[in-house]
Amino acid sequence: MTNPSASPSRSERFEAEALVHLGPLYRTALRLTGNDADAQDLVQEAVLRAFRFFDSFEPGTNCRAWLFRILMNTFVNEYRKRVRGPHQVDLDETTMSTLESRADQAIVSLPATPEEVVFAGMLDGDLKEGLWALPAEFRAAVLLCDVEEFSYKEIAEMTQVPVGTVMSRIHRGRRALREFLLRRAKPVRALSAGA
Amino acid sequence: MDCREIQEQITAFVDRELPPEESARLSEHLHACSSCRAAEERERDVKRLVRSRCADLTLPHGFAERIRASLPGDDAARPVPAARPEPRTGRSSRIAGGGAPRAYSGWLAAAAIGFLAIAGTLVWSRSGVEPVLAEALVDEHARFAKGLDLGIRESDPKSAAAWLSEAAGSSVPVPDLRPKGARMVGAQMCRLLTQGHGAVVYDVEGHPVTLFIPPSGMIEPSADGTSSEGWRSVRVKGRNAVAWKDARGGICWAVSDLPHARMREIVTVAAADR
Repeated sequence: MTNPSASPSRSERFEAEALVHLGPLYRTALRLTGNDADAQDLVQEAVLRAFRFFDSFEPGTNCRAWLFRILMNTFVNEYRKRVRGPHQVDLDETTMSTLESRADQAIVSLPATPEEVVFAGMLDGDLKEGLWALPAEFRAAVLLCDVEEFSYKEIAEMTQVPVGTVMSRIHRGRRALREFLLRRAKPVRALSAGA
Repeated sequence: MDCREIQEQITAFVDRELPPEESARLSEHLHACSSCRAAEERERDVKRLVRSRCADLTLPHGFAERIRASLPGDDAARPVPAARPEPRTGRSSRIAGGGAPRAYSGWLAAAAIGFLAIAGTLVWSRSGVEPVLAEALVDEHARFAKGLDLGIRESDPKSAAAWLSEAAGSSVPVPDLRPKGARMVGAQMCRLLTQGHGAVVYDVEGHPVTLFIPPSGMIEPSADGTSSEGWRSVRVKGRNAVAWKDARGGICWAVSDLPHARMREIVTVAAADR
């Protein structure tokens, strides 16, 4: 038996090492599930799972990455199956190539204007919609990379796909997102051009 | 360098994921190629946009407190934890079954027949999350016992297994307990803390008994890593619960107001039948 006064208890360690990452976990869960209630459920489920397997976490390694791995695992293996049922149309090769070709067209057809300016006027709701329009795998890869700043290798481990697939998802995800946002922004751009 | 070929490399370049020498080569190309440079800028613009607009860290009011309250304490062995699970609401505690099953397949039959070959080892993990789970299970059982919230009313184990498996997205074996006088009443998929279980409600001489069965897809082989022997029995909120590990390695639970020994006897029958 360990003496609780001599070393921090399991709960104390979990609080210090894991619960400090609730914010990032929640914001990612929110964009994966698309709503607050499901995001809370997903995070709670992942955190309880993490607590349960906290002994398998190696102290000194990246706890945040470990938690996100559990979050992604919970999302893919349990949440999606249960919330949307087994008949959800998942991302397949056709969807991927369609997305890619649409993104390719967008890049060819849309003029290379200072998009930062266009994007600056973008509403959060537009971005939210754009992200939501992406297949979950693409959305997750983009968020884990751009917002959470995980490396491709870490994302590959979390989502259990090769690094090359991670890169491809990020690449295609960003292009599809850009296409969506530029379409959404077109009227604004026309308006500002006319002004 | 072929401009078309390096599109994905631009992504890795922007994310600083290229090895130094490749990065240098690409950088050189970008310097000379305005079209690829524009592609790089587009990529950076989207990345910046996502980063700046999605970086909010605000948690919903009371969420962190609810998470903390739902964690079990350090004493894994106590039967009734002081920390109670998050208050259960209709929204978060349960989801409806994922639609009606369409067809019954042979492999499900095999899974159902193979149910409950008692492993005889392990049931209780070191982490102590199970006492909390037991409490939640008892709450679920109490609702089912009142006839509330059942996804289907069904007396045939095979149909129930097919329905649950469809809803869970992976096989949920349902034992036929009729030889022990347990009549199936119905089933539901329920979401319980860390786990989603198929719940099957039986009637044993007027006593409702709920079996909680994890779908195969959520069983993590050897993840628990404990080695205690046989059954685990607890009494929680005035109900009896027993847990055991089935042939697949999944931890199953039964809850009722019947004595522990009687419950063990009822659910063991399926193993004997194999």
